[in-house]
Amino acid sequence: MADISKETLKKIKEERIIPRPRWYFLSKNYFFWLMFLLTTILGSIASSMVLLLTGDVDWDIFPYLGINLPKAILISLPYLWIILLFFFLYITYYNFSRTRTGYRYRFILIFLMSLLISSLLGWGFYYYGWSEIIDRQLRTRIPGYHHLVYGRQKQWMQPERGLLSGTIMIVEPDKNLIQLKDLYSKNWAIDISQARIRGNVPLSRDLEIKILGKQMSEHDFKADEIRVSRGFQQGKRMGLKFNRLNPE
Amino acid sequence: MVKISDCEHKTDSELVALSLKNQDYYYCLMKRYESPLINYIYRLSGMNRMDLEDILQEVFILTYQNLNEYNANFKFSSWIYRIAHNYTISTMRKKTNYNLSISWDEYDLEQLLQSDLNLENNVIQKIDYENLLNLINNLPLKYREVFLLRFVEGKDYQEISDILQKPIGTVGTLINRAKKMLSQKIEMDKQVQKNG
Repeated sequence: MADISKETLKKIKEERIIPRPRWYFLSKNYFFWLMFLLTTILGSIASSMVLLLTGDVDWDIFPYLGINLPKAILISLPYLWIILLFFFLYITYYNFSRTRTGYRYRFILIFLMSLLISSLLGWGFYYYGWSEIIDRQLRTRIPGYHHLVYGRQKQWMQPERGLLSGTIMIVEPDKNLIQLKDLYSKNWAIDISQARIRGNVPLSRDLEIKILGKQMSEHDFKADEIRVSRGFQQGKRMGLKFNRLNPE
Repeated sequence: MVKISDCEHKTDSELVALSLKNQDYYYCLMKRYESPLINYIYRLSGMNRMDLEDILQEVFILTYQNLNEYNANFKFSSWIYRIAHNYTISTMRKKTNYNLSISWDEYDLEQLLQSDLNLENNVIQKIDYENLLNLINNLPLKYREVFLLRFVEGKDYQEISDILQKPIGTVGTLINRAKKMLSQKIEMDKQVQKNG
């Protein structure tokens, strides 16, 4: 038998083979940790969007629309963000398992830990209103995004079924009217003479509201009930945001 | 040239550190693992002598190129076995035209019998050893590799976990399944012999 060790050493010397530098391996390890961190944050955003879109749905409206609870759940689950959440959780697992000792932990353990971290961070994003900001950005910047998620917009933009949502442009108390720009930028005149206003907030310009009522014509709507949108309430929770969104 | 006697009392980690400064010390490390690794690669792949030597040389070169990756908190033996294992498996996947026909030597048999395989003694005694080894060779790769590492190489669960890069729990499960599968194969083999 040949002396393989001797031959190998000879080859190493002849071909001038040298060990890869230490920084190469360190940066490879740090890269996977960085990717782990990044995908955890992306997973947290996805989880905050799941919370936002699920919490955003007004469940009491479904009976009003003649939809039962199981169907309501099926309609309103934010599938896109749930799929993205699980996708990011899997990528997080992959990145963690590629770190130096990542292989020592079971898939289910890493997966559940990532889910816990993403849920906690996601709740934080949701609580501080960042998911709301992301949602707005996506709705305004990505065409067709609002078709992919149910949420408030889809639920409340059904004027023919008595649901309307938008931002108050002008309040005319003497005429019992408000001028509203809906979520698709269409203008409406809302009759509020018989409307019950939920929440102790005076109607004012730039306030986002949701209206239960009846469509009277192309641009006229009679309100039975007015609700202040979540965005406002969240702003109220965060003092600074409230002032920024509602300078009046 | 460094003599083997210069390295005898040095640990693997010390030799790794010395090899990074002086290539000649790497000879000692290679010499230390030459025989165990060639046996392991053979038991895993059943390749011929020439292929085995080629694989081993590539494994040593790969190990040398990656010496800076070695973490002294881990066993060097686990690390070099991991490199050997991965390279052998990848070579096996590339080579499609070879048959797995491994002949085991007496040492292997002794190791196997002294191991904590815990197959029922009467089961083992009832079949001849050649049959037993054939049955081991016929285990699916994922069971055969843990089986070899545990019962022939005598590695503990942590070492196997580090070599195969699998969680310890998974290693335990695979070992148990491998034992169960082997017992079933032995039983089936007995039945065939009885009927035949």
